[in-house]
Amino acid sequence: MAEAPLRRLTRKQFDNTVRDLLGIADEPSLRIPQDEKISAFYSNAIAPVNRLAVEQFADVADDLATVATADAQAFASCQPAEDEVACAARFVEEFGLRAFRRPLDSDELERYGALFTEYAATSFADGIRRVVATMLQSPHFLYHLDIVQSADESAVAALDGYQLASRLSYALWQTMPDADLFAAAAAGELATPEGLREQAERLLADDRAADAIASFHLQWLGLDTILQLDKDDALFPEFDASLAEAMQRETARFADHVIRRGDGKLTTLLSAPLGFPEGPLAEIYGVSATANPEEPVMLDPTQRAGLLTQAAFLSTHAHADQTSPVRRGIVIRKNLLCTNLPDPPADVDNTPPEPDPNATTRQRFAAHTGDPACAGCHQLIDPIGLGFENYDALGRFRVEENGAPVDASGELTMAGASSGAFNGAVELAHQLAESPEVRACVSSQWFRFALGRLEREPDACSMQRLNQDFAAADYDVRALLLSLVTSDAFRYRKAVP
Amino acid sequence: MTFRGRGQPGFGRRALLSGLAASLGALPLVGGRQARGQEQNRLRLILWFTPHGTIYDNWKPSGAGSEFELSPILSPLQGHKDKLVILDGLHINPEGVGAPHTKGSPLLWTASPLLTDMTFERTDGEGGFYHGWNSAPSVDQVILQALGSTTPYPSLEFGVRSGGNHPGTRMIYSAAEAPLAPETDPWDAFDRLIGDFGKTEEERALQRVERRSSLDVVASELEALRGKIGSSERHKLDAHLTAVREIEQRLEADPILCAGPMLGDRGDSNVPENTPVVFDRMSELMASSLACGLTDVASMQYRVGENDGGYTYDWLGITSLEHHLMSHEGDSNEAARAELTKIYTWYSERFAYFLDQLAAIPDGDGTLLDNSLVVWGSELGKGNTHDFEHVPFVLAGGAAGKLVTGRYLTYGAVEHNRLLVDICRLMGHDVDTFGHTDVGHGGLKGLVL
Repeated sequence: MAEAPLRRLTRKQFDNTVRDLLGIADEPSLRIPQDEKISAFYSNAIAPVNRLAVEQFADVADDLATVATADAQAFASCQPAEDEVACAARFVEEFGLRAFRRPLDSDELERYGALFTEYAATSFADGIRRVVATMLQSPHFLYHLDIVQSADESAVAALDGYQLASRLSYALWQTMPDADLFAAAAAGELATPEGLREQAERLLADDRAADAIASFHLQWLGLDTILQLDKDDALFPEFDASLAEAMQRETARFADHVIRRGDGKLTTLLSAPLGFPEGPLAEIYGVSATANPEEPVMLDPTQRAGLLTQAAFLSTHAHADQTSPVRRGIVIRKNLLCTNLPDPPADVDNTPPEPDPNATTRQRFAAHTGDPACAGCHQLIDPIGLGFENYDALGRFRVEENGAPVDASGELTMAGASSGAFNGAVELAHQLAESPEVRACVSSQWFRFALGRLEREPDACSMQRLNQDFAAADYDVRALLLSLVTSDAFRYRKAVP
Repeated sequence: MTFRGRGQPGFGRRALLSGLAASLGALPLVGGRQARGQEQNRLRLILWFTPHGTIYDNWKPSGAGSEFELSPILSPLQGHKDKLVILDGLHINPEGVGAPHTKGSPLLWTASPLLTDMTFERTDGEGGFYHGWNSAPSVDQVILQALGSTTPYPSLEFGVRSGGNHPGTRMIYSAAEAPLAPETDPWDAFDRLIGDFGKTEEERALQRVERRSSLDVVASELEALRGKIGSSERHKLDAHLTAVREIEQRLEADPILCAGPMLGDRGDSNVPENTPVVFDRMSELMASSLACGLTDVASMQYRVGENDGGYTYDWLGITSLEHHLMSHEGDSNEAARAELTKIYTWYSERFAYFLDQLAAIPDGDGTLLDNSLVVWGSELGKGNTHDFEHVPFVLAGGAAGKLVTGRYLTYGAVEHNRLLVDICRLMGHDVDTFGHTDVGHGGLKGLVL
């Protein structure tokens, strides 16, 4: 069991938790520090907070508490016959459980009770507001605190029900547990893999899971920053915020559709010719705009196959004014095959070659594989990326570039059993969909996403079981997730003496 | 809910005045303490960063020693020429992992490499090795840790569009793996540092009391948690607790009420077009914070070294190519060199504007500029080859009489660790080497006389 880092909530988790805890949904996290990214996934697992961050937490907590407690009696659900002191005591206990995601101990009840009393001298509302503002900047709110104590430092120990409930809800919902999950934790139902599994199935069936599934896929494929993408206005005047948003939503909807409403298979994610072309995106695919953006549209299966041929992926992994076989190749290599690539040499001029009306991209990028200094790495990258040449920098299908026919032949190298030549990204996608390396990589990526850390050597047993369960279910991602949340790495952690 | 547009001030922030001097003249210093600078010649340290080096030929002054002429890129600094020391021929020892832009930024002020724990990936789409946060603190924090601080804020970090929370975008570190993220919105920073003038004095006093109550609870919770968390993770709670204590101490002391700059109407600091305005407002706020004794140590990070990507300079009429790609154009591309020269000249203009602020504030026997050591550097020498040679360094201010200015000094490929040693020594921290990359010792020849 690898040491689990102390993590803070990510911005998304903060926003979602505030939404579910206070009913306020306006992205308060824009005012707290930006997230660290551990490999491809947001997780605040290394850098500690500084003075500015603590002040930001306090500022946001104060403002949120002020809004939430505008009608303090209602917010605290005081009963007509209940006196204010009794109501406040009940509020501290009930709200505290939800804010800290576990019951408060007697010291805490006393401490927050005293805080209420101090400020209730002015008014009941002031007392409630100060309790809420303080809890929202408490380490028990801000951190994922799954502390397990034991006399033996080397021991691993099981997380308790509330800790598991939080791990489960943040992994599958990116937010705090709901009332049912808290109840299951209180009843001890999460102590067994069966109990965890039952709750996990419920969570996956709930629409809140769409958020986590979208987050996973957008971060895994590097698409979470598509809204900051810049394209050359002269070449791609149609690329604007609404198109970028439509692209991002399509990939999110597609992943959710396959995993929660479809067959759940990794193969389907990487090969189904389905799109969700909303608004301006329909033109990119040359189809008519769909009446219901929630429903998938069948795309030309000779042109499209799953996540990697969607516009979000193709336009993100391209330059402002041209495609990028290098970027497309690297993301496949790194994020789908989990290969680590060395940096290019420090003194290399890695400006992409100028677009040239008389040459194809393949011709212009030939320098990479021609120059022996570059070829070592680029032979791992470019033959994959050049297979995407049927798509321009916005993801539109093309058979010609600058009047010359597109050559989209490629080769997947150093990819074990899935190595081999292919023609075009559709073939490549099918090849990757059946690749043992990609399957193992996807297991690792979900592990990193769900636990907010890299898998380490001591996690080998959990990873092995994960891969076995994934295979046994014919690479159904739902089975992978159920295996993950019932794995030792998920249920246990190193104890602290 | 209205998070952003807090009430408009009775303090005249709506009026857009261009200079701090004007606002200082217009507004009395209020509150418990007078501006600290009037007590003595108190030395301040300011680190100033702009990305991607320069165009060396257009940056290099002519002449030598005290007889020199500024170059086209540095010409906006003409008004402060006698307060500058221009350092030509320093290089950064680019030891360690990470792509050039990524490692250059943290190397600049720490002279120590990134950790190799394979945690982060490049964020610019170009792939490359994973790496970790930086391995050691930056020079400003090293000095603070050696000498201590008596100001309400030991240091203040400011940034303008300074990127995400990633090693390539963080430059100031208090320790290994402990980057200090900068304030990036001058209006938020104003509310935090100078005072939220949308509130009455009573409201502000109450807010201080409330915050202390909350932080008391938070501090006791952090203390209780310390013993329950694994030893490898405890430093995170310690850092959190240190931050809480620092804020509590400040809240307990008499508030320093500064005459802040008039920032004008709130703008969105994330919109590229607002960059020039945001940059100058930040400079004014920074000068103001230094003037009234909120801190003696500050830094400015303009943009990111990792890759000033997706970023055009529309306000300079440069809309075609973004800075990073343009900086990669070969030396023979005269058009790109001309555009880049425009950008680097604009950097000088912004730096000059900041120096204007410092020079306009009386401090001790002279001005705030006389009592400051301002160090302007970049993460590279030039962009197209990721060259760590000829990194452009400019010092400004008299360092409270310790630095002879009005000079142009040339060196033959001397590593910038020497400069960092001089910075420490000028600030009163006597060291002979600086940073894990240091292969030499001592300061720069001829800099400190």
